Amino acid sequence: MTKVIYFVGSADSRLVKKRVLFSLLTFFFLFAAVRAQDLSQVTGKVLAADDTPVIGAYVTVNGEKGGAVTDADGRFTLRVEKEKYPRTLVVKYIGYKTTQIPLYSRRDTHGQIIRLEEDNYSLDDVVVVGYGTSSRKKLTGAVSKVDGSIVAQATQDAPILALQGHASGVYVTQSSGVPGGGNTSIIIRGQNTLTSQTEPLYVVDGVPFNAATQNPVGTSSTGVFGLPDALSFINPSDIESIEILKDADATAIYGTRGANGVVLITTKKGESGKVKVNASFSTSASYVQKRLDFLDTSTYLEMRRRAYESDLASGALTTDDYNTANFPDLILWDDSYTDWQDAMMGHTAMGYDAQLAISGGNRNTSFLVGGAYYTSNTVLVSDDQYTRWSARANITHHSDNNRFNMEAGLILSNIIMDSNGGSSPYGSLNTAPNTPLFDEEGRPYYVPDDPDYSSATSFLASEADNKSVNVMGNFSASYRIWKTLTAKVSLGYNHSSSDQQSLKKRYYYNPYNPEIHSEANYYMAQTTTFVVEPQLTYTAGLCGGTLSLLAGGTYQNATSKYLSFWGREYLADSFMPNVEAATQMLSNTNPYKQTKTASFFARLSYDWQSRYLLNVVYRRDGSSRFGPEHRFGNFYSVGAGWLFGNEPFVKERVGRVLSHGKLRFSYGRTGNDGIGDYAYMTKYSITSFPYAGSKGFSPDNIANENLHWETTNKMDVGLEVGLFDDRILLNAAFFYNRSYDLLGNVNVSGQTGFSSIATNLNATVENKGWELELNTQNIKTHDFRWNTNFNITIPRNKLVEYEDLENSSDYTSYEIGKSINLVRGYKYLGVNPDNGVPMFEDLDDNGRLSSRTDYQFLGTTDPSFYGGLANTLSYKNLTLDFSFYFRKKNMQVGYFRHFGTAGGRNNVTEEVYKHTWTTPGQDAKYPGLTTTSASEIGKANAYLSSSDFAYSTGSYLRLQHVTLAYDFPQDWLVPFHLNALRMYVQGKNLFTISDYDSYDPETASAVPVLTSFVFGLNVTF
Amino acid sequence: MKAKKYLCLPMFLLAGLTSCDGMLDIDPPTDSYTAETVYGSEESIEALAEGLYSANFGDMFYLIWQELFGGFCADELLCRSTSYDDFVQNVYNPNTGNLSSFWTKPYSTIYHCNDFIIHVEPSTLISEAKKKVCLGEAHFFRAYSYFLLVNFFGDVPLVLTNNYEESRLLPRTAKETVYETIVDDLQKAVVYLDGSDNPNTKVTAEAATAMLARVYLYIGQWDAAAKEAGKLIPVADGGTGTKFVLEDDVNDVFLKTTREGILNLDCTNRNGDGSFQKSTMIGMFFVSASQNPTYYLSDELVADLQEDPKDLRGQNWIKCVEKDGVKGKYFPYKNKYSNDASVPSGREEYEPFLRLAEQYLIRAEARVHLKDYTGAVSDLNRIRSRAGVEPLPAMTDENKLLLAVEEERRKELFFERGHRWFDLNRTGRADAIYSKVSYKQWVPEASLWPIPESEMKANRYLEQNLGY
Repeated sequence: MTKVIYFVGSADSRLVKKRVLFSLLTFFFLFAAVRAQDLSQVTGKVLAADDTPVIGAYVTVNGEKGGAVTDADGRFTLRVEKEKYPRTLVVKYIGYKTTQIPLYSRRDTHGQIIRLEEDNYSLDDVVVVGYGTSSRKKLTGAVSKVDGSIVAQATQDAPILALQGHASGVYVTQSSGVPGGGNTSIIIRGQNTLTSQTEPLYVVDGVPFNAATQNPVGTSSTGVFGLPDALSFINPSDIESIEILKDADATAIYGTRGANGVVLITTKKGESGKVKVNASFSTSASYVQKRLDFLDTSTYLEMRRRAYESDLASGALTTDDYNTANFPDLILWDDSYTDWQDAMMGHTAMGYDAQLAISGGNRNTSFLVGGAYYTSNTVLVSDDQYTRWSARANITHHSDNNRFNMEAGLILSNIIMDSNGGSSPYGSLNTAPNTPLFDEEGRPYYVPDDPDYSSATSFLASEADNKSVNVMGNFSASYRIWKTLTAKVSLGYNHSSSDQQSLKKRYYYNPYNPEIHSEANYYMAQTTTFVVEPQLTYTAGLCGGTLSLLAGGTYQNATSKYLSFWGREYLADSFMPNVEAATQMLSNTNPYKQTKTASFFARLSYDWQSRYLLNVVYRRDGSSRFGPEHRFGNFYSVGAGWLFGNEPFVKERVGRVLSHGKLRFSYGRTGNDGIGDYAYMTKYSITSFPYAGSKGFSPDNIANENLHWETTNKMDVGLEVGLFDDRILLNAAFFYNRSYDLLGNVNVSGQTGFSSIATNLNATVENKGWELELNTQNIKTHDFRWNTNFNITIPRNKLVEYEDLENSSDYTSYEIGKSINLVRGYKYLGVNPDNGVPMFEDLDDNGRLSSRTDYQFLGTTDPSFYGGLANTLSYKNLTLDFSFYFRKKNMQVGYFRHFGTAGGRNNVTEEVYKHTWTTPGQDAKYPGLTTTSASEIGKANAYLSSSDFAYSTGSYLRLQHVTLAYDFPQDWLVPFHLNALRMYVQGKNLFTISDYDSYDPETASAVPVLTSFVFGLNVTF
Repeated sequence: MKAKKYLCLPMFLLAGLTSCDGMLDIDPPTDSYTAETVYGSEESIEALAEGLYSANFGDMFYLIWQELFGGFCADELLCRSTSYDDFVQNVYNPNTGNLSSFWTKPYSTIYHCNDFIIHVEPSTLISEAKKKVCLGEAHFFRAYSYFLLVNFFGDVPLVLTNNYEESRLLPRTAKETVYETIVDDLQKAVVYLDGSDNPNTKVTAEAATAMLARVYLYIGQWDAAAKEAGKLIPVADGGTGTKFVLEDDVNDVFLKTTREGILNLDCTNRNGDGSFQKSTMIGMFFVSASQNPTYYLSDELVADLQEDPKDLRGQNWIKCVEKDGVKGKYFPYKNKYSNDASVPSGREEYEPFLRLAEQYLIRAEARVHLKDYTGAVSDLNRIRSRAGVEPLPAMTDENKLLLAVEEERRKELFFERGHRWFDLNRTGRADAIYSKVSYKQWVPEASLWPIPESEMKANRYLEQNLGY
């Protein structure tokens, strides 16, 4: 910088002025020059393939600081520091391939028109893994990703259920066709453990959520809703993606809880750019499609009379037994007819969903705020309602130089379950057709003066109200100390509280039974979890490759408590919600539980030239669930990958066809701490009933002080191949897992004083299987596209070892070499044609049936294989999606377990009655008519439920959903200032192909999976 | 390098995280207590003993099920519906839950007692006087639990440890050996409880003595049985007892204030299952306003009780509802302080667990076997006179006398604690009687219940009873 020398009082003032002027001008010129250098810009416009402007694309220059975002016209102005050529301009936008434009000279810096190409299916995108993200192509572990759009399409209330059929190795079943999914179960790569929990670990935006212990809902009563989906507090449309971590490489970093797999949920974040508002509405109608052909009243009564006569003839009954206690249907009631299937679950359930999300942001900060409302009733007669209110806020910020990154999020939800019924009325579906439903006053009907009669409609005199609130907050901040070292801390907080009331009104119980009058149960539960995870990441180059090191710790503290009390004998049913109106009150337990975990983890990843990958993970975990000597465990994994598609010699030869090729392998060890708190301590508790006014202590449990982790060793081998520029993507894997030291509540004989003990079994379970995923873009023209996604999993489970099985209390339940989900029981041999008595195989031929000697292996309830086939067709603005789910499962509890044989005071189907034995010499399928358990037929019938007679097939093929959507074209929308408008109709579970002998092979004894029609609208402006 | 130095610090912190075991210390649960706490002070040890009462006498099982199922299996009780047919007709199903409870509940008490005795015997935290009382109670409850087990199932595993590893696979022990333990326990109870101030609603030395007398009778030690019974029978009737006297009025036998009750269960204040508050089992379940009550006494029993029109028991201890001159079925009406009846004060009734009348009958039977026929007859007559019935003449035929004892026990102790069922089985008279009952499918093996199937599955060393 030239110094300006100011000559004061120089001889020639004009000269001085000139000099000053010159200096000043130089100064300004230089300054301007410098400034001109500072003001160097790159401008341009970013367009999509169809020439529409891409708004919000992020433009940077390789290796330089700063970036710009494209505006509504797709234009950007990027300030760059120095004039330097050549340089590369990088344009990034989700859904499009990252484009690089070389700039060779000043001429290139202005007026660039950059066209972005759409990103082909999935493989190049980012996948969330434990404590970080990874490029999908560079994964060494087995991770299945399900996009948020699939989740939102499948369901409005049960995100886990949405995964069914969309991810290999993930077996999801719904247990009841009610809102909330009703006890959805998810098993990743087979069941590892005998009796302890099989739930995977859920991580929502980095906050671990242990559904089994942190969800207080359903610990008391939720009526017909059962236990809703573990993630039902999240609005499915808020989900960006769900990643399921399956093998050791992916799950070992979660140590103790990774054995059953990990489900990572990432919610949508705000996008930089103009403020966008997205609103959507939908409405749905659902009903039960299937009907069984139960008998009409006259046929039913005829059947009953024949049964009575048969029992009379055989001497099992006397005429004394022809009384109102045993035969009210023949003596008391008339011959009116009620279709109990219609009466109990013939309604059409209506659901409504409304959502609003506002997002926006600038270069450094982006936010998203949203709210959602969902409500639905059920197909059941009992007027139940499920409602969810949720709200979400999310903010991300990074500093200009990208050194500081912060993210904070909050999810709030309030779920209200109003059930005017006790539980699923499945048991009432086969009620005798002439049974009165109500008495003259509209109360559940009971046979007069019979204290033992159980009413088919008694559940209507009960209510279960459940309100639960869930608050989940996450915060993380990271700072890049040096180019190579970043420090990060994550905090997570989760608070769930549940407020439940279960009312059993006077007529819920038999009014002729003096035992109890009305009863109500009040229950309040709360769980709070706090987790803090500091982390350090170090990245550096090493020997031509990239080395990445992660080290961190976890500290988690979870507490839960509940308070419950019940009241009895209310003055009147209408007073019941008020606990003070009870004549008698009892306060129940108030347990307080606490679990703490502390861990240290580290991960080393090495990538050599995008060809060789190595991933090593170590985690040391401690959990307070185990005895003081056994709290800590070490877990680890080693994963390796070879991107042979990137090898020069491969690229040369088949590069044009093979766009991606990877071979991966991993082996590691994960743990499971799924046992109750304090289970290692012998405990005593207060007795339930007082005697002469006082209570005392009595022993609660027997314990194993040496209770420790259950361990699962996992091995995984995978091959990924992409052909024709990733138009065909194949992902095949073989997994082999072994679990030992199984945790669980193991049966012991009653002579110990207890029925079970929490302990580690010296047993080993093996899970292995094949997974295949195939994604193809069948047709890809300008106007028409057709993509297919197919996946199939073939799992096998085996009990490899069980020390001293013959002497344990499980010796009749398990068999070495067979699955742990086996069915053992008597083998049904059909009906004796002489007398209609069911026959069973008597293995030791001693004329008696006993479980010890006559139980045999009947089959397993494991799926033999399962998978899904999803198709997306789009033509211009129209999209058609449809997907199938199929499963082969040999044994599912069937019709007879729930509905029984013919003759008793319960209806049967035409098919059953037609094939019931009636005359000697008849070769019938089903046992003869009888009304009592004391007849010969009745005594033998007692063994039916422990035989294969009670099972049917569980295999089916289901059309999960068909969705037709229309995206209104841009020019229609512009006058309304809308950015996008989408309308869709959807049909769910339109048909199911199955040989199952009762309602639904998936839900067996609960409300069947419902057929629905949905209509919806989605608008962005 | 600087980086290394800075890296090391957090590493140490993190490593510190994992080795700090104290970080994982958690608060204890608030609804349960560890062995250290529970055996750690006098109050809690007493509470643990108190727990035996609520677990046993506060529980429906001990209060009603013995009568109910004992009644069904014997020829006392019937049910209108077919739900209990497997017991009424003696065609037991090893899979029923009820059967299972008769096995698991006594063993649960046995564990409680074993654990208690093992911990408390050597304990110095409780005063000697209180220790004796608690131990006496534990021994009594253990004895009674085994008594139930052998009488319902026969040979049963003898578990005297609180270590489940040792007990879980024990095979069945011969009945006789189990009885030795029962006797031993009761003798200890008598010694321990000597001089305790427990009221007759709790276990006392007298209760243990009464139980001992019964057990001696059951195992055929007549001399010992007569002697023990004699310790309770009042001096006026040839005994040495001072505390108890037979009530004169049959309606006073079951009062709260009865002088006959050796162990009388207080069934009030059952807030736990509040519906039983202030009511006896009979009052709750059996007293009925209907002519066709759900549970009713068998015709044979009613006939026996009403055979002698003077028998006060037949007039007061059973009842039926009469409408339009037609008598309905009879139900037991012994201790009937019912829930919704307004009971005159002073007439509250308790559940009889052990009462003096039984001691007379025990001594009578023992005396028959000891050939003291006069003594036997006099004991029988004492009961008969209270019941308003003519006294027996002098008899010398042993068989006839035994039948007389059986008859008297039938009428006096019907529907109490399963006496009839136990009596006929132990005297070997079950076949003779039950095979003649039309509604039963009697076979000799039906004297014993089958071991529950769930237990057969849990312990492969258990042998099933004959016939199942």
